[in-house]
Amino acid sequence: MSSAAERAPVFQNEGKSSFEKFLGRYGIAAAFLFFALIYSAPTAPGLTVQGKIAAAVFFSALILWVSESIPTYATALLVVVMLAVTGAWDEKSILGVFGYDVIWLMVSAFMITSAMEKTGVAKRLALFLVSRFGETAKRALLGMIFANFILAFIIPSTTARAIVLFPIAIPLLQAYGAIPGKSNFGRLLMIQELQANNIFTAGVLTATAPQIMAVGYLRDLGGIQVSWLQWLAASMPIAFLTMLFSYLIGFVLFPPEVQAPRGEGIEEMRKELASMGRLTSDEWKAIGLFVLTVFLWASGPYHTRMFGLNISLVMTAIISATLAYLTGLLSWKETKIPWDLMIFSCGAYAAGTALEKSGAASWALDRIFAKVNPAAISFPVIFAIVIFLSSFSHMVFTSKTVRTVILIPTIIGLAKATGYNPAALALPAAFTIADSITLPPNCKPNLIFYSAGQFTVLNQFLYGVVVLAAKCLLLLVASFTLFRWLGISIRI
Amino acid sequence: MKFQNTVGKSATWKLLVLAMVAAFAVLPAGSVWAGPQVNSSLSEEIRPEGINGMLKQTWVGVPGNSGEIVLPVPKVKATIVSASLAGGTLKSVEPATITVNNKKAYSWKVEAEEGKKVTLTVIYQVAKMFAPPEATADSDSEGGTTQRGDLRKFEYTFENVLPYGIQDYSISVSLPPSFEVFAVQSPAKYSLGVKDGAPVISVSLKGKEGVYGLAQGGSSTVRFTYLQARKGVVFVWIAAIAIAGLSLVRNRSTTGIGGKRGAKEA
Repeated sequence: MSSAAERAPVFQNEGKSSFEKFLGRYGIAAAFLFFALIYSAPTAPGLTVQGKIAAAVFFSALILWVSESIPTYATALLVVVMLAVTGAWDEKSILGVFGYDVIWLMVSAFMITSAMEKTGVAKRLALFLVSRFGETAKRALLGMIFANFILAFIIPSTTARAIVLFPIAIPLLQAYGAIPGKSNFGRLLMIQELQANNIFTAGVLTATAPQIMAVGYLRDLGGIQVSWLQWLAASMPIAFLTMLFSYLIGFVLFPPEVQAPRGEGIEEMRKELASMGRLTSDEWKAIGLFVLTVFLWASGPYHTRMFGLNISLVMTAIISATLAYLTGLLSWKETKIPWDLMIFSCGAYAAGTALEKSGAASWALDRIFAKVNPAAISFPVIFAIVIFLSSFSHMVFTSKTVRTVILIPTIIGLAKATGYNPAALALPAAFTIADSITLPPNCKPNLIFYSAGQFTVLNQFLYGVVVLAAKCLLLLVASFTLFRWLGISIRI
Repeated sequence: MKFQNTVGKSATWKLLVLAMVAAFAVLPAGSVWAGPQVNSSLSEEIRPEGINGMLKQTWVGVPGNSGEIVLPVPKVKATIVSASLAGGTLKSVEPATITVNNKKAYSWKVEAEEGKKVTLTVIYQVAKMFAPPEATADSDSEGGTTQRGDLRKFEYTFENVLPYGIQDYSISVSLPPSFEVFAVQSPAKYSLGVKDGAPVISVSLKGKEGVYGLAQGGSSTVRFTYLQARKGVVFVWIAAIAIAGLSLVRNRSTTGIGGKRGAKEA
């Protein structure tokens, strides 16, 4: 894990492509002029001034984050200031973001990761995986994608899965000598991890709670029952093909500079693993802690039945972090918490939440759906519009739950009003609820993998947009093939 | 034992009589014992007139058995400007003030065909409804919170103190033409539009079959902040251009603008 100083000094140009340098040069000017333009523009009918300003702050921040003209944490601080002084959100709420569960979750996750790293168990696991399955960079990447696929069935939380895999990915980066911000292998590993995390989530109904909520809407508002197996049959092939595309296109976008682990390669890894000897007591403790954490996360739905109380995702992470200190596995000095990432997360969440709270995001969505006259356009076009909107809505609505609440009932209503089968439009839209892969603040797993400093916001954005475009296309093809074979007709 | 019984009965009677006397004493002389007044709809319109506000209430429904229309007294300092009735005759513009469920209400005596719907329109003037806020101390000893200083607050609550629900309730508030809505705190569902060149915020509580839009005892609050339109735009542009210019100069070595730093680095 790298520190802020290692990652992004102001106006850093080293190791950047000419396009990234171009963005870096003009990012500040573009962001502030864009802000002034939106701020001074007449307020659109139906929108409040607060909503307009929140949108101006959000998109100006987006320009700064993508261009990386200033460090991401500095942009986040700027967001906090801009939101407060313009009244886009109230000061108390903005400052309160630091107490959000996402921040606590990340702090705890980094404590657990620090313990895993310090004891050497993470390194041992990575060495084992690399020497066994990671003889080449391609196989190592594939192995980590596969691990994500398996965990999607076991742990019903995207964040928990990210926290489990992050400590394994870090030593893997070291094994391949990935230097933060310079290594394409590092970029691929970290971006593919967050993509696999989100995309495989869409394949398994129970992998995240908002998907279950979407199925509830389909049942209550659309009169359509979707079982766990039906969801898997319809969504997993799309998720699988999307991830395959992501894996392949990754080599075109970021050709890895290494094909095998550093040094003498796999043999050296095997020797290093052998030299580590038997598991130490600290490593056993770390494994115990790890197993306990995974168990608590995986058994979430049964907590009350088992213990008489429910332990949340964030509290599980805090319990594990506490145990790491109490058992002597970790001391505060050995804890590596990237506070720049915490500041970045706060700013990003504040910008996104202000956009939601001001009503600007739902206003934009209402306007788009109001403009669409579904009766006058063919099914493929309306399907493409719906899927595009639901897939990319994560850029403005950071919460999966909020996206589900806003999008799914609206799409069911749209389908019913036009005589289409709600399942033909709203179910594929529900398959995109977890597609939060374009920007770091889109979801917690993104922030966790971003913290390694291996990729820029622009790297993730471009890769994410390409992959999501492919997924939208796959869904469109499936609407005429797979979905029909599964009995999802276009008309009621 | 007998004696005690007599005293007990006598005491009970005394208590009953006292309770009845007390009840009549407590109830105001003008109390209305609710008749079947049917409130089909009540729409309120608020628009500015200088710094004052004009509140227009349009009530549609069937008057009560005793030929009365009862409406809640507005919860703001309002004076009646006019009252008119369509579909019947209004006996007096000035209503009687009565008490319903311990809350003040106005009662208009009307003459109308029994069971027929009429429309009562009442216009009130509300003093200083759109007045700029009075100057207050800048902040407390700890500096106060960060907030805009150019926002004005608006709050209006309608409380249905009538013995019956209102089927459809709506309210619209127009702002002075040069102002716009900054943020709406209440209610969660509202719509913003423009009417006669002025921004309007509207709230509609439509009832369904068997369900009132605004039930008895229910209330509707419209609370928002507003401000002078396009205020501070010049300052924002100056600041944006200055920051943009400075950033380009700061990066002149890589923007191609040139200059000493660029030459040095070259």
